[in-house]
Amino acid sequence: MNTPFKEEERRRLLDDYFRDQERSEELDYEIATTQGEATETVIQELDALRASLSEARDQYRLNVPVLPLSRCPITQQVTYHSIDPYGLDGLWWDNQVPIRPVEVLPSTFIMVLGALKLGPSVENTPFPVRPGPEAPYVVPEVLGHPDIYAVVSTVKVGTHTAYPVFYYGIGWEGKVEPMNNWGANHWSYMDRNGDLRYHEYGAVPVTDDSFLEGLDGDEGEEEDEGYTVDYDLRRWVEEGKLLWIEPGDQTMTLREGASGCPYLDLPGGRVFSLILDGERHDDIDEED
Amino acid sequence: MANKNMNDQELEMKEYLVPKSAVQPLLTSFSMVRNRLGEVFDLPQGDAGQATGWWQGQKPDDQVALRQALTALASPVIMSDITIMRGDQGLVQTTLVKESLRADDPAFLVDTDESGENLRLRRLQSPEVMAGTILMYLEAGVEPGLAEFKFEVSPSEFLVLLATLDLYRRSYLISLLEHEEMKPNLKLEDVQNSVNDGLQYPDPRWLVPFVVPILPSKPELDWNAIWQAVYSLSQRGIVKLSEDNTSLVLTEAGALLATEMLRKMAQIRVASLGYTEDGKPASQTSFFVRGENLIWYIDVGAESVVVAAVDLDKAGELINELFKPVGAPPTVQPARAAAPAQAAAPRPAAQATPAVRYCPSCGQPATWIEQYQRWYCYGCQKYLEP
Repeated sequence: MNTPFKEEERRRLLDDYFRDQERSEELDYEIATTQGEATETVIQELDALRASLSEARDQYRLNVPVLPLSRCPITQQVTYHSIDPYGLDGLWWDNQVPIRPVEVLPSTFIMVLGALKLGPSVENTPFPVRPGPEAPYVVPEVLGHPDIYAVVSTVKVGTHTAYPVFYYGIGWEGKVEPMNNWGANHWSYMDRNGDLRYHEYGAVPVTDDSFLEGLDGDEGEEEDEGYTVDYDLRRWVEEGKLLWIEPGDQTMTLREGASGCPYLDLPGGRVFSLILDGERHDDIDEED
Repeated sequence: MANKNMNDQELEMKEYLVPKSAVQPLLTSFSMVRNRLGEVFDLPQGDAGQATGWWQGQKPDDQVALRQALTALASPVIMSDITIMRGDQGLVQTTLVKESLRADDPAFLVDTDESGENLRLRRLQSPEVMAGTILMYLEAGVEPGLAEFKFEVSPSEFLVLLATLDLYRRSYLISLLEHEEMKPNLKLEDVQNSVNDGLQYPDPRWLVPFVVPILPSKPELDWNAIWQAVYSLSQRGIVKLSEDNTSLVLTEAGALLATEMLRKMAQIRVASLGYTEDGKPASQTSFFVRGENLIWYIDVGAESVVVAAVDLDKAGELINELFKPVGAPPTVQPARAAAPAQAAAPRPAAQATPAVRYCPSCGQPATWIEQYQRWYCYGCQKYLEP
């Protein structure tokens, strides 16, 4: 966790990274298709590229901004979470291998989901990006629990407008299964005891999964909770379950009630997006 | 002489040194949201380049903890100034800073290192760790006794009582040095001198100077006020005035207090500043003394001071209460912020910021203390003129 990079520093880092990655893939292909043993020169070049790519990922992880994105209504703490606000071509947005620092979040953190309203053009990304649908939504099966709250806010990502939705609660372990964090293929953060929590929604947990104890389907075969999405935020806002932060409010003040809430009935697609190679597709599996 | 810092034997936890000049630039660089309570820290603006250089020199694991500490400094929900005087030797001063309203969430201890250039930060798993440390001082290795003892006095009576107890202790020490029997009579003139000494010399080994910093305002007691206070204490059965009204003796109750204070093992003051649920500043100040046999709890209010003997469990309860935040302070609007205009102002979940006053001495924002209905400058440690 280092000081955040500036836009031009990030651009240089990513340009170099993608160039090296492309070259590395070429060499991989060359080695795979060469009859007999590959030349020592090619292997050395590939090793050097891999080292350089690894270093670039570390550098990216160290410098990706950690920004105030939300506020917990229970602890009143501002929630600082990493995000690449310069565009979807940042490695933070790589759904399969998201490059993110260890997140230090309020003790009440459950998960962060999100939506992203696409701007006029879509970045050309060599990796799949899953930023959610274009309009913010909530998961009724999670937010319906009496001690769980969500907060929706706004952050610009390049030319796009993103809507992170953080879920907070106390004593939620064993009651809800956390979904993969926004844009990522897993859920993880560092809890208040300094332990790294990790879970893959839709996969067999690989580390401490005690927070899942008590959930239906925890015994025997892993079975994910059947979650749905609800784009009608008015009901949740009026019930005080979904709080909101005014777009551009740098004080991250929590607001309640439907009056003046800019997140109700937002335009934009209600289908989850999958972005790859500069094109947007419907991400039907993710939505299901 | 007194050692002003906690040492590792007292609190075994990792310590982080942060240059004071790096804090403000880092808060800005990390886009950290600040609140009114965070403004209490008097930190220089500093150089952004130097701050970044310092930050980049830290280990990644340390950066995680340091970042938590910085967010706590930027937006605390409670700050408790804690001063512990162990016997007459070790003085410990630190500030507990907590960012979360959740009672058992982590907190940080913040103080300044010997050079004065660095903040020293230590992460506590929860404020209960600090409460446990204070209890350890109050237990002092010997199980305290129990006594039914409670009375309420005005702040000026309280101060005169402390000055009397200080005078009693002084007389005792002099009698030892002079190989004389201690005289039970204490002259009112000497009580007045004891008050003045206590207000003039900030020697924390004596009760008056130890308590003065947590009083709502610096007392100015003239002869009449001291006389009035002594008279009231006599009416409460703590002292007995001589017939010519020139001296006093301690009653049985007063003598118990004096003996306890004479052989006190530790004295602890805690001044907590936070906000109420409806977003108003509030403070609570308490003073604990571990006497020879008893634990004394003194709740210092604006209008009255309650003195009571408590057991260890009750002391623990009271200490934990001092570290419990109730409400969140208003957030400070960043200077560069340009929030879009609102057509219809929505209902904020947090309370609106009260009008701001600045300290005429140091120029820092002052804090409105609802309890005392006065503005207080934490930088100068004084109340502003109304």
